[in-house]
Amino acid sequence: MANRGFLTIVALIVGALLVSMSTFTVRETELAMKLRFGEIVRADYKPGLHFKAPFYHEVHKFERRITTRNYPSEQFLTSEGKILRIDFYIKWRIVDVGRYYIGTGGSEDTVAVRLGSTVKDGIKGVIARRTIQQVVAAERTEFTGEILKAAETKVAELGVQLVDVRVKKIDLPEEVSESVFSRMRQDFDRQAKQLRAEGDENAEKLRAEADRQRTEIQANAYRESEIIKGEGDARAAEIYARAYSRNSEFYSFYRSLQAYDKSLGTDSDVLVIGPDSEFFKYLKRAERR
Amino acid sequence: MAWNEPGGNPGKRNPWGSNKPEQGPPDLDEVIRNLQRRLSALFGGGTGGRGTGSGAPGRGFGLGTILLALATIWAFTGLYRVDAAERGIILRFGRHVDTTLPGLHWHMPWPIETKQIVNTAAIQSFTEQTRMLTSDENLVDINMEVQFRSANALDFAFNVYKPEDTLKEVSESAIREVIGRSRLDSVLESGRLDIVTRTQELIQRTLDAYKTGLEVTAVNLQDVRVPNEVAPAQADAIKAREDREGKSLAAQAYSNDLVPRARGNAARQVLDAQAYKAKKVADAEGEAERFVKLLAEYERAPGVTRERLYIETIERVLRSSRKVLLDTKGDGGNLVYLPIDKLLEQGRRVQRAEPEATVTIEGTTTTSSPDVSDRRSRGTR
Repeated sequence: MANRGFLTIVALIVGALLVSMSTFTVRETELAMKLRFGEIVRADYKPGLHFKAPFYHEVHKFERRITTRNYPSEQFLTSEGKILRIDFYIKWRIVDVGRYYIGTGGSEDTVAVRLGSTVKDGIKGVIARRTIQQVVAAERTEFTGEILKAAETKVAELGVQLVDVRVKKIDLPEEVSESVFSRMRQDFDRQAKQLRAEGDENAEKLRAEADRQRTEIQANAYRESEIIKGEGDARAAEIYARAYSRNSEFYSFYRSLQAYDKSLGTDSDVLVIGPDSEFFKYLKRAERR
Repeated sequence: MAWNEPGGNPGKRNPWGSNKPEQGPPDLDEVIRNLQRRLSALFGGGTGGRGTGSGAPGRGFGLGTILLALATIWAFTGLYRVDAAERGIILRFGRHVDTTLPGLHWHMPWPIETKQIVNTAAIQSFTEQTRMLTSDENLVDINMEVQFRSANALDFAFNVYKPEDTLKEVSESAIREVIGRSRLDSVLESGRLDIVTRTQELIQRTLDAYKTGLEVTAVNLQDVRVPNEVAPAQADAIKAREDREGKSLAAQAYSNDLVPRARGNAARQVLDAQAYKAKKVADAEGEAERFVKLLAEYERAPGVTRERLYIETIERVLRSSRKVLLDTKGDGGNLVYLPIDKLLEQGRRVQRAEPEATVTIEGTTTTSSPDVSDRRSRGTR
């Protein structure tokens, strides 16, 4: 009785062990390959539960998702002989498990190294044909496109598909950054000088314009006022002439008297007069002349 | 489909194949139902099966109960909850069979089915600060924040190994590309929005090409500045820009001050001229009229009028001025000394002090000097 229950449990455990040893699961993110003593039996498994014979078959699983490898930055020469430090990443996906296993022994690092050197050569070629300016301003896909094409055949024999090669950093070597800084400083200095000079220019223009306006206004006003004054003078002269020409002799007498009156009769004047003038004709004698 | 190996493959036998020889590739659900039936038969201590239930019911029931309880607990481990922001991905032996919406769900317990919960709404972010080259070979420090969410749960779960790392790499590449295609001044001044838009587009396009299932919701440029080594020069350039404005404003102020005043002065000048003209004309008219009126009377009695006018005028002149009456005629060689300086000086003082003083010098004789005689001759002329 007890044995039966015990046997049941043992049978269950043994059954579970057998099942687990003779099945394997392939996840959505995995690729699997079944080997029989090192010989590939099947390599096109879809996700799900699959069977194998315990000890007889061997199963290897690989990454189905896109795998990325970043490469440290390296120096490349541009067409004008300048050095650029460039780093990049490669993304790939295993498409042919059999070839992948044979070509790389299933090691990601092997793929990374082989792809890396291929891509590096490609980048070297692309950079060498361009100036720094062109490299920096290029669309990243612009030259990775060439590299991708070039690497395609090499990649195919590894059983992987190259998804993308992309350059991340494009930097100048550390040693030249100081010279870049000094150039930038000079550039800003130049800007500052230009801006200040422009400020002066503008200010000077505004001032000159203001001065011009003032001078012009003044001159116009002067002209106008002189014309008006001239009109006044002319009108006055006309009036005087009309009146005085009636008797010019009397006018000259009359006007002279007015002038004496105005110009001589002040306190500070000292007149030294001889008594023989017309005015004093009665001063010395009173008889009728 | 995966349940059965292709036929003709020796050494691989379906464990249940012998029980169902006529069935083709069985449906997995059916297999599981089958299994459940077997289990219930086994644990229930019932009939059929492999003859395990033929023993004492009491014992079998006891063991069966324990196993049933374990099976129930096991079954309950398949309960799971999907939040409003989440999606549940159900894998049966690693194969994707269902994507579940928010709510309470049950999946067949481990090891048959497993679940993976992906939050498709939560926005995550990371920041990245790097120094990069612009198209004109200048260096700029950029601090960028990228916000993203796992919009497509399946792509996110299955397509790319560590999608977030991929996003970081793609973002770095993208911002460098966009900055590399821009000039420093446009990066620093106006181009921010443009850079953000282009970077976001580029990141998204690349992510979509990899089918990462990630969606970039925002790219923020938190800080864009030149390296510290260059910052003072840049600050000076910015200050110069303000100086430029300042100078223009100062000049404008000068202009605003100057021109209206000039206009005012001009208006005054013109008005003054008009006043002058009016005065001149009025004066002329007055004086002319006066003369004409006097002339009429003069012509009636010229001699008398003339004499009267003359005497009146001289009277006025002599009354208010100081005078020296000199009769030098017949005096021979006598020289007259006139201290004109003093007279003038006195006159000035008198003028200041108001009271009228008249000095009359008559027949003053003194020694001669060329200077004096010169003065005298002028005075007597």
